[in-house]
Amino acid sequence: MAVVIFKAIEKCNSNCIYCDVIKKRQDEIMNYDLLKLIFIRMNEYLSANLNENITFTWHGGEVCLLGSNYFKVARQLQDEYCSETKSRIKHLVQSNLTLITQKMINLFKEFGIAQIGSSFDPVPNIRGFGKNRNSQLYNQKFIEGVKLLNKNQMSWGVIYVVHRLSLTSPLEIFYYLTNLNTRSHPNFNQVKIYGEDTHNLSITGEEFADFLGAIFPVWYENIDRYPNVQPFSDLLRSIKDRDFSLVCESSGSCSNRWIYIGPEGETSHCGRSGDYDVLLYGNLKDFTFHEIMNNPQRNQLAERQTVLPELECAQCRFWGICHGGCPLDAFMTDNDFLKKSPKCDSTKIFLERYFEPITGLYADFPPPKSISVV
Amino acid sequence: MDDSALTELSWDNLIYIADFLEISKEHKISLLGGEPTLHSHFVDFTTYLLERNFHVNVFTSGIMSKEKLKDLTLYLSKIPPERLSFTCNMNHPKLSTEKEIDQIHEFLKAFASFTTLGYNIYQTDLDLEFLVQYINKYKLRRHIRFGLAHPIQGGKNTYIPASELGIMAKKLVAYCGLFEQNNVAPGFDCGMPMCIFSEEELGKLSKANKGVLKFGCGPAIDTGPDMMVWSCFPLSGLHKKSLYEFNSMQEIHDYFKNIHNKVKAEIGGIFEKCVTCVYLTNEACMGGCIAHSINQLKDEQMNRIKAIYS
Amino acid sequence: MKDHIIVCPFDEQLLAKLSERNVVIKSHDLNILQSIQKHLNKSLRLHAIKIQTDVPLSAISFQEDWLKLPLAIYSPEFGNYRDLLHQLNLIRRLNIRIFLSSEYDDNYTGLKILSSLNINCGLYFNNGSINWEAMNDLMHYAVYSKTKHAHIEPFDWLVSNYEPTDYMDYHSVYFNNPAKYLHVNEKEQIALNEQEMLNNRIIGDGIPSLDRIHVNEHYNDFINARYDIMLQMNECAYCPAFRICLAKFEHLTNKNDTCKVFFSDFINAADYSFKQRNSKRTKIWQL
Repeated sequence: MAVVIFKAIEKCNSNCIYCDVIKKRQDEIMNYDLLKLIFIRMNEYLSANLNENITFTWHGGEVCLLGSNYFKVARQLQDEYCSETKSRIKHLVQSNLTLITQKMINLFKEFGIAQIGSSFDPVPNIRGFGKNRNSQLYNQKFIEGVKLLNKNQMSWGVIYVVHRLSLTSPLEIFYYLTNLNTRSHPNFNQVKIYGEDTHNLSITGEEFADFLGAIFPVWYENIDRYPNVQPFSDLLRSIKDRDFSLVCESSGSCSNRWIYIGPEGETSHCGRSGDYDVLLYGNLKDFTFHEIMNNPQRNQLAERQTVLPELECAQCRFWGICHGGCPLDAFMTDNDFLKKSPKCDSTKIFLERYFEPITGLYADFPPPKSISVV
Repeated sequence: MDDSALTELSWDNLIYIADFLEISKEHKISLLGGEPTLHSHFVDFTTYLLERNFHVNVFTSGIMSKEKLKDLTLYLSKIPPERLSFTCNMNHPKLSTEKEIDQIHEFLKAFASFTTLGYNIYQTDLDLEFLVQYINKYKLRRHIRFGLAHPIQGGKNTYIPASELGIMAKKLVAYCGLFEQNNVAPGFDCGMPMCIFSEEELGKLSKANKGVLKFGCGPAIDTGPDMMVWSCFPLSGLHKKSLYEFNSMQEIHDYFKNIHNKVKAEIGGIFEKCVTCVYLTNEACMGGCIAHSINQLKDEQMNRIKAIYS
Repeated sequence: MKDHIIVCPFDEQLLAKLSERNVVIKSHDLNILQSIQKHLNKSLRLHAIKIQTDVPLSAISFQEDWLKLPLAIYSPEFGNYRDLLHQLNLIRRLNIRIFLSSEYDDNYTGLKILSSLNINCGLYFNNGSINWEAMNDLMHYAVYSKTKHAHIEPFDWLVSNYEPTDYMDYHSVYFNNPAKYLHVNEKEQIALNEQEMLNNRIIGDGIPSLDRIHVNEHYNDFINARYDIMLQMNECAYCPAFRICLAKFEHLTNKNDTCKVFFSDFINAADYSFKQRNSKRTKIWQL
């Protein structure tokens, strides 16, 4: 399955303190001709690959700044250019919910969208409007968005970015987020700051592991109450059931699945690589989906799965649930895709210090003796 | 006794105990004291337990004020006697005041069909005719519960030493004729050793009790107002535990039985010959009261198994 | 939409207009039960009758005539057990829940007595004080006791209906959850619950407006009130038991010694009960 991270717009109405998108292009919105081309490309790809599906994630910036008319046009374009293949296109939306309207929700529903991914932080002045990050107003607008989603029986979930100011109150944050939404639970991610950390937000892998570790025992004791908190649920399923259908950076199989498309049709490997202009695969105007999906630069990502087990990750018992982590993290740190992610420390610490003692389970998934490239 | 033991059983604790017994499939409960009728909620507790379908037996001296008796009569006299019973522990009238005797008489009049007399034997001299007289006069239940006073661990009380139990036995059996004439069965509470009676005496006692005679000693399980449990009154200072530490009566019984077994394995019974006695082996007799046995070791160095000591 | 149950006084004209709806009749006077009896044969869809008395429970004279009535009797005090004794058999035959106030310590024991004697009962909170420890003990009794006993509310309602990923409003037990119950007075004024009615906070007028309640702004604001708590970022928003309390005790200053402890234990009890319920379900093969 191909996953498209689609950023028709990089402009955002919020000024989240850890976001890098705000620093980049602010005025570009993908024009309708390019938008049309996307659907044509998707149709080409799906028509040639009858067993394939596409997950099309509307991302940003803030997608609601596109306006409801943009989505209306997108819908029309899909109907026209993907009439035979649209059933194999699954749309997802990532939004901060502060600008969502009933009109927009109606259009999302037409795309078959039943849930919205979002992000939230109860710590003040981390996510907010304007120079001073007015989080009070932001939170009000967010809640209005949530009420509207509830009224339309649409579900929503949040990614929580763990930063230095979160470290003092992990459980409080956990309880707050799970009180805010009792059905879709938070996905905890470590803040990623590249370049100068002017706000002193970055945390070490160990600090992230300890943050998770403060929450984990409560989660584990009350799984019925908090189903699907990440990364806990995926780790538990992987280690307990040996079900390694992990996502993204842990899967070890992102090399040939992801495409980022930017406002000018530029493509890259994924959302982050697009943000940082790394692994550029050319412009959609010049290349088909198939060509982009098979760009030779992807080979070095695949090569990680043979190189790392021979070198840095040899005999690592966590290999099966980590696979060397995100190649971009490795590149950002060591300028080399064939290194393991520095984030692997936080995974190891969390598993050894908290997960294994509490669950009694033991992660034992070293790399097999020889691995062939997929 | 410490202060907590002097407080009354609370409603919450009563409910807990009733629940505990119900879970344990026990449908009988005895209310003891001190004097249980002095409890400020005695009538409420008793009627509550009856509502919960327990058979309630109350151990009482029968000595109570008119107001108290009136209260009891109002709420308890119409209960079917198969659901409620009183064991009225008697002293010889010469040991009671006139007022006490009057009060006992009033009690026996009011609750005749519910009442069995009890008598505690603490000396070899026995004068038991008054018991039969009471039974006949008030038409009480035709059974006397004879208990032996046993040494209370950690306390000082009057009891018959083991060496004189045989004398007491003869004097007790001398009343069998009187009991027989009046159709009164003399039953034994726990702790009576079998061998203090001759074969002939055992025969007489057995006839008087329709063939049922017990020479037992085992955990009776008492619960205090503070929810502590102990094996029985003589051992109330030994190996106490909180009721909350157990999940059923069986568990409590097993716990104390285990201690009893350890003590009996160490000591046998109150007589030296108990160790080799076949009736102890086959449990026709339990070798007398375990408190008696432990008491005999009180002047020893504490070198025996821990279970003997509190 | 006639999915709400209407809580109203005993007013024949009003009841006639509510004939197509389920109603809870509320009163402070036990004598009203006779009049309600006469109404039973007419088109009255009676969900319950709520009587708030000011006499102790043991002083109430229960009647055989009440056998057909679904009763919720609210009494400030348990009273004397022995005064209740002769009525126990009748009470057990009635279709009744007896509620005692949280204000008096004896009531917590009183509820255990009633429950252990197979009488459905509950605790109600009338802005009086709460003995949190006694209430926690009562809740433990209601949920964990292995002996068979009658329900004690709101504990049994909550654990029976508990879904770990839902918000639960136990005010349903007291007919005060506007998602399920609305209050209407003789003037056909609508309020969200009893307290709102007492404080004259009217959100609508006229029986027909009940059908449009889902678009009523005040109604929707109330239903979404939990989000206001989240926005305030106060203690309640961070409480692990928020989903079953919904900040009903927001006004308390020492939550760490009171509501937080209790509701944390309560939600654990609800989780325990949920696991028990699910583990008991036998999975039968499907036809």
